[in-house]
Amino acid sequence: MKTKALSVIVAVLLLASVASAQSPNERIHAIQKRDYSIKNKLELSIFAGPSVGDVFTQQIGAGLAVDYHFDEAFALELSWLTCKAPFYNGSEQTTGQFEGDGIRWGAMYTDAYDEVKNDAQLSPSNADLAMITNYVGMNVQFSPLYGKWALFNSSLGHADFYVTAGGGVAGTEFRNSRKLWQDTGTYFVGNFGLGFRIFMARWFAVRLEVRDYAFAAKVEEAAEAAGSTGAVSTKIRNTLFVTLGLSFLFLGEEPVQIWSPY
Amino acid sequence: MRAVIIALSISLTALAPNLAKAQAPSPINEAVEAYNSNDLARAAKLFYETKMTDTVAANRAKAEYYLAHSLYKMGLYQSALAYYNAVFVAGPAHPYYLKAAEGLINVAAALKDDTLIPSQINKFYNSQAFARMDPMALSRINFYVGLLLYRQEKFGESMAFLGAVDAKSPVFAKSLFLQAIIHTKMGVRYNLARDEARTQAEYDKAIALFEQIIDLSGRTEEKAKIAIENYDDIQRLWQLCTLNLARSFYGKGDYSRAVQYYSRIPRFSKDWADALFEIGWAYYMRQEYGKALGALHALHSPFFKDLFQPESWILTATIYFQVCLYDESKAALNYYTDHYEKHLPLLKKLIEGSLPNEAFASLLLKDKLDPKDPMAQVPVSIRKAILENPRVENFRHFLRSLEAEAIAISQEDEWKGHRLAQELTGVVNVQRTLLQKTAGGFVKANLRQAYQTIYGFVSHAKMVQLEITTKERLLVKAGYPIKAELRGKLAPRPKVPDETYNYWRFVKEYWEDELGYYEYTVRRACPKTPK
Repeated sequence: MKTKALSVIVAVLLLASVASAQSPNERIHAIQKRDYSIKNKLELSIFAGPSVGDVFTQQIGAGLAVDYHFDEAFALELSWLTCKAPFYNGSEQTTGQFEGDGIRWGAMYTDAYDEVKNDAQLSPSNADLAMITNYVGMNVQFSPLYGKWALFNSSLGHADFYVTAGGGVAGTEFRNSRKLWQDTGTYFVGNFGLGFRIFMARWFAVRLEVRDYAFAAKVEEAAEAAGSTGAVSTKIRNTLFVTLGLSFLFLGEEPVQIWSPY
Repeated sequence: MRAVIIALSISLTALAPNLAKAQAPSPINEAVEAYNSNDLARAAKLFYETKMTDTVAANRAKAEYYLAHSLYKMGLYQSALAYYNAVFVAGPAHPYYLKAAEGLINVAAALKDDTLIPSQINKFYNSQAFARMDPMALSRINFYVGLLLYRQEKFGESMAFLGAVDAKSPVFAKSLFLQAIIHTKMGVRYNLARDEARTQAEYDKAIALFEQIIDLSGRTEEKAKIAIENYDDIQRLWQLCTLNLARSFYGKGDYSRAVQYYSRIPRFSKDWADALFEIGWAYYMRQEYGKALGALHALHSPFFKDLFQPESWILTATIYFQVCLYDESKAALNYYTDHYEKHLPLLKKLIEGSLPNEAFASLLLKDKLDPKDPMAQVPVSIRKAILENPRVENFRHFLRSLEAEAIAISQEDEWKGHRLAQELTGVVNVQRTLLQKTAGGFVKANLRQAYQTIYGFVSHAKMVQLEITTKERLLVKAGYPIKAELRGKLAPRPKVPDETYNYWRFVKEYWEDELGYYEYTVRRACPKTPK
């Protein structure tokens, strides 16, 4: 409770402002029960969104997350992010190289890659091209801000802002010069993100999140690849996903049911 | 009521062959046929002719009652009332006396009349004859009479009628509620007479009755739904019981429990403004001045714009006075002067002028007032307070039904040029005039009440002002600064109960969701020890 006292009003006026000046001899406070308390709630979310900001690659990720909110500020999250169907790599063309764009959600190289791929100096290393396939991990979430806003002075909205950090493991791959997908290993992946949880109902929220997944990619190009030198490239890869999620909240403190008008 | 009408229809059907044999040329046979075939306008006309021309007294009596009943079934309640009443005032000797009494009570319900018809029934109440009546109908009669006597402040007699209401009657909960209210009123009386024991006893009885009404809900959702079906307006009564439990505990001096019950009144509900104001008093009595000012802060927000609440400003001034914030207290008193006291000359002119009662009726019977209408001068807050009285809706309903009835009579082809139409038009017109007078009288009484309320608090305001002057003089004499800012520190902000609560500081913006959750902290400006 003490750690979470930062309250914000993201807002316009709901009602007329007071004309009279407030006396210097008094302070007025509003202390109200949270409309959207998340303490002890279990939150089940589905989310999806593209990766952004990488010069050479782009992916679309989707996933599931289960959060348990210990209190209004802290939660532990177990999440799974998938950019490719798990446990299946597609049809194998040569050893360790697969075809199958259909099982990868929008994974592709950008126009920039096509423009520079033949330039020896500018062309990206294989490690630059490593993309996450499936990630499973655990995060700690901290929500220091809870805010409300007025929508055209007609209704109120509530949201909390959170930061999240954690780690897990992820499978990775890249598409080699033969346009075949090649496994580049499993890595420990750290992640850090920011997000908004916009409450639509006590049991339902919309989550907008930006999360960066980072791992140290080390890729040796397959010998069969055309023009392969067999070189090993390393790179700290950052993949920034912007996702939109739907959350369903269970358990926690139920509001008092008023079945009669008193 | 539907059951009564069906029962009457059946009995009339059974009577029809006998009637036909006895008086073949009499219009009553034809009337009965029309009645049975649901040609009610024609039936009414023929019953009317029978009533006026038939030589057989029994036929005339029957026709009189069924004329009323046909009109009732046509939805012409005022017209039905006139004929039911004629049968009823004839007394138990009339064969349809009891049925007419039931008819009257049905009309009272349809017209939402809780004054004129109950008064008439009370005048001709015959307990011996009524003992043979259907218990449900009798219960309703007893309730209405009890209500009437309550309004006349004949509490003992009222309790006798209310206590006779059957527990299965739809008005049972209402009768319990009225009994409880009578006990609270008695509590107030004994309190004024400084009879502590009786005061407590009356409030205890009231509390038991309010609890009994809430117990009808079974305090579970399923049982409450059954109660809602069985008893008239019981949902509204539950909330009123909660409010009145708070008032009863306040009357007993148990301010803590009063606060508990006032807090249960749902925000934004009909009784919320009353609850906010009264909880302000309860906090004041508990010396929780910050919470009292917080409740009043919500009451003075734009949400309650134009609410007639003169006393709340006097309470505000009194609280500030108690915490030695004299400038703030004076500001509240000035608000009272500028927004309430200034209306006194106008109100005095209206209530002491030569306007007839009818001239006041427009305030509540018209949706839009002509600027030339004297009622257009009544301040918005006072007009709103009058219009929020639940009886206003009854008056308006009554007037609307009279207007609809006048149109229905004039448009009924069966009655064109017939004496019945003339007679019914006359009945409706007389009633409309009477209603305007009654409604006007009601408005005038309320304006007088508003005048007396404002006037009464003017002297309170002057007293507080006088006390402030005295206290300020003493401060100066004792060498304390007159400015409160220099006399003490602001109290710390109130504690947040736990993390599931939010704290928002009020910065001159009223957020709807924060209304009702305000709390003040004030400067501790009272000198601790005299210098």
